[in-house]
Amino acid sequence: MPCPEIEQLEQYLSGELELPQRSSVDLHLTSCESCRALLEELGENAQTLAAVRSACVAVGGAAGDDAPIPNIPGYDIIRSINAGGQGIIYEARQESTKRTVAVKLLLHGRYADKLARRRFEREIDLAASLNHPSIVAVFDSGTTEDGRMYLVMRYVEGAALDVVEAARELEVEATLQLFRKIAAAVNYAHQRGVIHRDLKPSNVLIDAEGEPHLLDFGLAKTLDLSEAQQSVHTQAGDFVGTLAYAAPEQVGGDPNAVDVRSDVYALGVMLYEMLTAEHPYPIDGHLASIVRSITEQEAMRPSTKRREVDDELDTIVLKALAKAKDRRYQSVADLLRDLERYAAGQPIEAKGDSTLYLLRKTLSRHRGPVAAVAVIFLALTAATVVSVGFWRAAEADSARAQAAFEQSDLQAKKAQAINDFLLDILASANPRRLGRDVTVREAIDQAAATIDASFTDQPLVEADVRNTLAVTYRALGLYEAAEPQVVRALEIRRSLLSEAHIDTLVSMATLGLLFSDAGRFDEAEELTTGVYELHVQHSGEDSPYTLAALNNLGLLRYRQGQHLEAEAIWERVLAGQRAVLGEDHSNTLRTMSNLGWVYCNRGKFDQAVEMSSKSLEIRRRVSGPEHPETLQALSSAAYLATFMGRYAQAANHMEEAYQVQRRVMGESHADTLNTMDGLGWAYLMQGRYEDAQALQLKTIALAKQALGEHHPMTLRMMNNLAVNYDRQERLDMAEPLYRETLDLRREHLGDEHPDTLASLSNLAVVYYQQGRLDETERLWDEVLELRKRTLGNDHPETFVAMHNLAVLYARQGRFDEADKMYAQVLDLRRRVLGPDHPKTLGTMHNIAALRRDQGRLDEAISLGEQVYKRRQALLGHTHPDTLWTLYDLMEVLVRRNAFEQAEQMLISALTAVETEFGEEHQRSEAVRERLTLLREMRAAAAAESSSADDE
Amino acid sequence: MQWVTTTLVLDRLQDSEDEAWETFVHRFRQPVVRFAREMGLAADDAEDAAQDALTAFLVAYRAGKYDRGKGRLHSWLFGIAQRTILDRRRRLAKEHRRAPLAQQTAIWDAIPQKAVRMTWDRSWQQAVFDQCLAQVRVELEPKTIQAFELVALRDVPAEEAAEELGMTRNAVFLAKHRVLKRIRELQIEIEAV
Repeated sequence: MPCPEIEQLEQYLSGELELPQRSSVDLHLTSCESCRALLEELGENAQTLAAVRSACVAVGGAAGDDAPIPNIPGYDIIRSINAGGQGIIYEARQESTKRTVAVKLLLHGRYADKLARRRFEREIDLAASLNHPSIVAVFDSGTTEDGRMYLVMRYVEGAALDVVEAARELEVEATLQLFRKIAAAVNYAHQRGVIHRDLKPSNVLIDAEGEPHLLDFGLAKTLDLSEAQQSVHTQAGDFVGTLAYAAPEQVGGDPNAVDVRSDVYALGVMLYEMLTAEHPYPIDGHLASIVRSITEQEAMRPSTKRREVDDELDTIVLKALAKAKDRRYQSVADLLRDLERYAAGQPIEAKGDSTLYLLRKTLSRHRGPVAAVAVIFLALTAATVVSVGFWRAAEADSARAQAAFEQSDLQAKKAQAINDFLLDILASANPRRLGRDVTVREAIDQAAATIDASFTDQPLVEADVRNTLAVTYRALGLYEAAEPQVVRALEIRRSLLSEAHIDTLVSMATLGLLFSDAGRFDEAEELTTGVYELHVQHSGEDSPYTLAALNNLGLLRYRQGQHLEAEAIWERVLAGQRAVLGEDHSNTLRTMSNLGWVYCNRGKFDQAVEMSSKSLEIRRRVSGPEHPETLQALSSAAYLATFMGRYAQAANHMEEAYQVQRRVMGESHADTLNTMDGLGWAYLMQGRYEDAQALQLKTIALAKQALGEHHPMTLRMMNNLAVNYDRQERLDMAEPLYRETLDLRREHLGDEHPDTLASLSNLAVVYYQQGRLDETERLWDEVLELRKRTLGNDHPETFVAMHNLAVLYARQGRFDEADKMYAQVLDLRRRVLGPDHPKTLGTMHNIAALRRDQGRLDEAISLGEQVYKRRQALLGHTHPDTLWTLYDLMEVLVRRNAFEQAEQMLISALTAVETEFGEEHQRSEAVRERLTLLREMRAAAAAESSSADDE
Repeated sequence: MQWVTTTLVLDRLQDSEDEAWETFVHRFRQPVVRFAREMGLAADDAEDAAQDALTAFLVAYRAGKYDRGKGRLHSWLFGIAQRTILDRRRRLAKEHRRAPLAQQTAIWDAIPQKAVRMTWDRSWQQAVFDQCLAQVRVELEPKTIQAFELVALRDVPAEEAAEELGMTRNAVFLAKHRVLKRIRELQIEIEAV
């Protein structure tokens, strides 16, 4: 035959060439010297190529595949099954027994002296003594003619444990079952004094029945010995592969530091991977960074990567993975015991035992749910605030209706008719006649029922009465009852008066406010803009009526979440009212108060405070310190202080207002109740949960009587009480109360009312804290969708829903989704609320926390520092939110062991808090507690590293 | 730059030839830089460490301390590189009192010597092959190199590579082996000291 082509020779070399061609090449080679030389060269080239490729991509390959089949006395080698860093495994038949065995031939494993050889044999003997169904025991060993060591093992048909597949395919329970079998085998060996030292998935074969078989038991030291003699051409990937399961003490390189707890650690890594499909920390990158990960980086809780994993299982896995041996399970038996307890639903024993562990736990427990709750707090405060401001607006509207009424031609006649009617109603509702207290609601209901018959020939009087009834119903929060009254009044006025008649416009405005209260913004929009335009047409831009109508439009915009537009509208109203009515006019002052709120919500605190204190000052001067409007302004300023984190100041203002209101107007007055609710909230924010609770319970009882059980304000108070329970972690009480509030809001405000959605969202917060994450997600998804539909994509409340979902995703370890959602929220908040808005900063704060959880510590620190600085500037150095950012930042710094920096920051925060509130203040104590904690951690870390040095 | 064997470079280095030093640095700076990076030095610091290491080698070499009979250049440079990098880290940590660096020094101490050596070997081998590949690119036809890269490094089937390059199948295989053979020769010329 002619000389074969180079391709054919390559195939011949690699064994790919099939038989007829193969034998003809064989034949040719015997006679062609140049082809023999070429073949040799091709063999060398193949080795060169393998070296080039491994240098380019440091991955393990089938090194040694080309090695000649060894001659092992007593065994027929059938085929090679696998080549790894340590040697090649062959399938073979034992000649004496005819059974199939696995023979592992160690690479380059020649012994320099007898001592080393004896040690090798002793190790093999020990390993051979293991007799366990899940351990592939070694039953023979020896040395080939050319001096290489080999081991003979039971042959197991199976594949190496695939952790990724396990995590994807197996339920948590099945994973634990499989893992327990592996651990039980390890435990068996430990009890016989054999440590594995190199546990990793590739050393666990899974057979067709899914049963595990552990390889290389007790051989790591032996194998290591031979491995150390390998040439420069060692595949570094193998070492890294082993390194991935090496305990911190193994990385230290001191063989004496290795004991059974190193196997506990390796098992921990495997369990982590089997549950999550991921390594506990990154194992790619530079050697230095891998070693750093092993020695320093705390693993993330597995539950962040797989939601079926619960807190207890987290604890078990993390305890097995503890960096310090002393803090791990002290034996595999201990680990197994806890896994069995866990499977049986019994409490596990794994509890943090060391100082540092406990301290870290304390730290993380403090931060856990805060992100979500803080969000709710802001949302609730804003809601409270809005209703305070516009309770007034509503009353003003009814006053205006009254004024319009008084100016009309029919004034005297109508006044008389209404007077008669009301007297009649009051007489019929006489408690003596009914034998019990009559509520306003009953009296009004009775009036409504008799209107039809009372004013048959006086339609305009009927319209007046109906409008008044509607205003009263609205004040009672009975929107459904109010609506037909005002609708009828409007019909009458439209048909008998003109569209632009002042009375018609009053009815339209009342109906518009009603729709706005009920969250029916589209309908409110049409009426409110209509009224405004008609006023402009008939009395011009700057008439008091036009300005009042514009004020209502501002309210609507505010509620629609278009704060920027509301701000512009109110600024325009204020300018007009200052010019037309003067600064001291009640309407002007009301607008100032509204504007204060919108400034506050826009994060413009300086302007908010200026506006609020100015209107309070004028009220005091004009109306006197005890006038209801003055007290309301005081209460309003106190709410602002709450929002800004000045809780003590808020409580003082509220207490002052409350005492006077109680004396002047009585405890059951809506203003008084509103202040009480605010005072309760201020106590709550100060952490005075019991004071707050007592006051809240009293307020709710009074409100139920005075305003009614379904009044939006009563429901808001119930919601706030539930928040208190929530803060006290009494979820068993918070949940039913949130639920009751939700049901009542659904019934009386409708399924899509913003308040109803807030309740739904708050209920989900409880679920979130209870770990019922699927339900949480379902509710928050629903809230988001409804808010998008009813409030629009650009409403701040819609952002809150998105923000909450991101918090949830992050907790579930769905980092990519969390990332995406946060990015969206951040973008929207920056655009709609502004880059320095507290809520924008809140999102940035959470993104920093996400980076921390992702292990991207540098980004977490840089972002955290940014938020901290901005919050210091915006909210002040001592605001709770500012301090939370500091605490979170501190935690990341601690992980980086940057204790010095963390301590400096805490010290300066403590100085600021103590200067502002005094040393005794709770907030000072809280910061001091952190500082103590930090110092203890620092000491513990120092002790740990010095003890690690000793090991 | 003219290709010369390392043996020749070392001979010339004895006589303080600038060109020889340049070649030496060109040849052996890269593995030290890679190694230093692997051990956690920043890019700039790694470059500086490599410069220090090679200079230290030169001084020792000219002082006659390098005995080719006692160990290969590969191992000798390893010792020097390791020492230089460690010194540099300690100095950085001390000078700047940069906490993370001080910490990294502790980590360095914790890395098992075996892993350090493997890392060096890998850095060395990567650098050697990089230079071999660079040199074959100078010496051989671009088409030959392309054929090699396609079939040997990118696992493109010979048939496709042949079609893409307008060569015969056999020519592709010949090209592949020509490159590999030359790489092996160059590798020996670099390492055989």
